[in-house]
Amino acid sequence: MNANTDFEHPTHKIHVRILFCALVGALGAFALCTAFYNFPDSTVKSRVSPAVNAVVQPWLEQDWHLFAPTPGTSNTHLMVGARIRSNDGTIVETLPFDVQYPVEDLVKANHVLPTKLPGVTLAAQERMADYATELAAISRAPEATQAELHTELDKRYQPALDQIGRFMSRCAQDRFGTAQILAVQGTFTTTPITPFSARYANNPAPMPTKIVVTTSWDPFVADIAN
Amino acid sequence: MTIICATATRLDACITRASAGFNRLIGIAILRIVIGIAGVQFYVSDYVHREFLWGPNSYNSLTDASHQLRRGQFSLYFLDDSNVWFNVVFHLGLAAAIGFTIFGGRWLTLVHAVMLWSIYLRNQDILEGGDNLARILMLFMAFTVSNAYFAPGAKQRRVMLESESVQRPVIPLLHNAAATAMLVQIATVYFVAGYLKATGEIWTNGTAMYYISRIHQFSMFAWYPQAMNNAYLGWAVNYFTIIVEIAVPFVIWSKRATIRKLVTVSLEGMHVGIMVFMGLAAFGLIMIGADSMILTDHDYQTLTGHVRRVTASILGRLGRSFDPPIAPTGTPPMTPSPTEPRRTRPTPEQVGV
Repeated sequence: MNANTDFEHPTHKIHVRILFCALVGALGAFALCTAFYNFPDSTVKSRVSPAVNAVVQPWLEQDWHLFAPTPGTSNTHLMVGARIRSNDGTIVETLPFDVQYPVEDLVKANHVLPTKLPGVTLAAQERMADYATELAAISRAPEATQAELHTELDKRYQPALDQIGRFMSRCAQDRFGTAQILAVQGTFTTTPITPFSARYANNPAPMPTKIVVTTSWDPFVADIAN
Repeated sequence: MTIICATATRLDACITRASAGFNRLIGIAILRIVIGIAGVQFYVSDYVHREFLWGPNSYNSLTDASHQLRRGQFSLYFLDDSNVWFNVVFHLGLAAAIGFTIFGGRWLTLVHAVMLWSIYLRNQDILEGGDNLARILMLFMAFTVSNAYFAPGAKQRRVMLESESVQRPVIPLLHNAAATAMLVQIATVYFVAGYLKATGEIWTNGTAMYYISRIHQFSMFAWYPQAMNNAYLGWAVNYFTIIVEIAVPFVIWSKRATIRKLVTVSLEGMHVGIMVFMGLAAFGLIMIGADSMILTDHDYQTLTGHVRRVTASILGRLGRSFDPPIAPTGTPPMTPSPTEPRRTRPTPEQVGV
């Protein structure tokens, strides 16, 4: 017997062959699924999406829109107002104050370890912009169905609204300290950026600020961590 | 029977090729360090705000945050609503991030991946996009050898790996498959990003950088929007970004190393710019880590050689103007020491003519 035939190369083992085939299959499936998941919408994509979603979600979620955002053409603000019980027992409403720019400026104070706090207001802005879009669609629906649709919308957005209420409570507490805060309200606004074509205009008119949505008065939540 | 034998032979040849060595060891090691630093930064940068962002009394309550989870996802932070549990998990996560950055290795990668997924899923409001790539890459990285370079004991590990690729082909097979999956993911990200930009009006008309520079959150310096007022500069940055991003899938497996290096250096420059001018430090770091995987180990070796040659040349020129010339190795010094006999030109007899 030839000595060479006695030597079994490790790659000849059956478990290595099976593993190799499984890896090639898994890699191919992964590459195909990520490609299909990221393709623009089409008939083919909608047909294969159940299988593709089963592979990609939830652990290989492909959401790369943040890598190529359509840049905003406006700056956003979140104005928070509070209802406070004064010492003589009367209830007063404060003037709304901006919480977004001060939070965003925190990043500029520390470039090496920038805080993630601006993400909170940014996420709130995105959610409320979506909410406002759906609200506008409801306003165009038949009047008889509007109340029901509005209730359903609020129910769907309940976690987001709750989050925003808690965030605003913390902001109000930071602002007014020991005052007895009863409720908070948020106003989401946008101010357009001067258009590119008007960037060199002399004395450009200030861009008008538009209210996107105003929340209802939410009860103040006291136990939010600082 | 002959067909089966031929197929098996071909399969074995493929397996032998696929397990012949470990691909992109240097790139994966750099990715490990950079993602590790980004992870540490994630924990440290908001250490004082940790209870507000992730704690049981966060503005984003456990109930609200759990609504954002997809089916099958989990986070260790949801297992208990006590402050003690939160702090234990948070600090273990920080320790795992530090350990992973320094030591790497499969187990630490796995632990860091679980911790990173947990903190990301606890509050998804503050994610920047790069985090999504990081958590996918971490899953694949658990199957790779991430500590063959830039880690304690890396040199011995490389020696061990050489013998392992022959004795235990499963390990290089897993490593190479995971490295390929990571490259597929990176190529997908860049291609999608480039494609979306190329089909977005604001990007193609060259005004995207103008508007981005004017968004309050992403404008780190007062002169940055001023610079982007320049139509030529803004247009050039726009198209540079689109071209470089779309090029990535085509250069990753290209045989033209020079183009691969050029694209990688361009990407690194772009992400340094994003970190500095837009303040997206974690995003920039993660992407720089991902970019480092585009280059092969051979690319790094040639790059290192090139950098060494250029450095030596610069140092040599600088040294020539300030210091006496240094004789090359093997040639006698210019001025013999008093203990050495003075060298003279050899006579023709001495050289045997």
